[in-house]
Amino acid sequence: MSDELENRVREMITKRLRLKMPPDKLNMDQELFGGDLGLDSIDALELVVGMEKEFGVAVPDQQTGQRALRTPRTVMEYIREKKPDLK
Amino acid sequence: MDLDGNEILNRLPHRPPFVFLDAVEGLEEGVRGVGVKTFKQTEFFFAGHFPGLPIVPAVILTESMAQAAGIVMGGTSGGTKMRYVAQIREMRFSRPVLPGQTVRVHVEAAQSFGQLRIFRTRAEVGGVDVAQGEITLAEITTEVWQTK
Repeated sequence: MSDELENRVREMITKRLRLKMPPDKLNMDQELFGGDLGLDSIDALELVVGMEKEFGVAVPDQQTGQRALRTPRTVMEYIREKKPDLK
Repeated sequence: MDLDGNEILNRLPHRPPFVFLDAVEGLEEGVRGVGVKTFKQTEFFFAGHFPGLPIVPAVILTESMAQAAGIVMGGTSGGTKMRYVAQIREMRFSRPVLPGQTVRVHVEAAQSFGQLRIFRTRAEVGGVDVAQGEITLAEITTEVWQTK
């Protein structure tokens, strides 16, 4: 089941990482790093920038990043944790 | 804080003919600074870029911006701890820079994550923008570099 925040997260991730897939085809439970997507540390920084610009949510350090940036769903959950009222 | 040429060499691993900063003004380490470079008629690249129509190559201008970003990043780069350009985004060159012109490179630190840091850069000559874009620098140890 998808909601508004999930759709926004899908759009942010596919846009910032320039993934060649429509946002609705992004698997929310796919590992972002070390998997098939071939993402690297620059992409992690791109996600950090995207989360700050589009949701006003900061990722203060690498330890937090490793938890928050694991999958699209953990990105969404981290944003929801920091901004519970965000839709 | 302002830096002269010698102080710049203490902070960058680059050496002539690949140092593209003469001075740095208003340095606030980790925050912002302004790099200054006068491109002399005698610069080595003008002979080939281009014969009879010398202009500063865009990559050299970008390098000047990256070196200024390296200074703003703070500390010292060199030895086993090096910084390198990891990404250049949305760099635009709006006007050519000609021999004899002085470029001022304005650098502001933006987001960082891990060993990576984004810098917003803008280069101007006499108050007129000539280039702007984002440069991401990475800081790594050369031991890691050599194993890859």
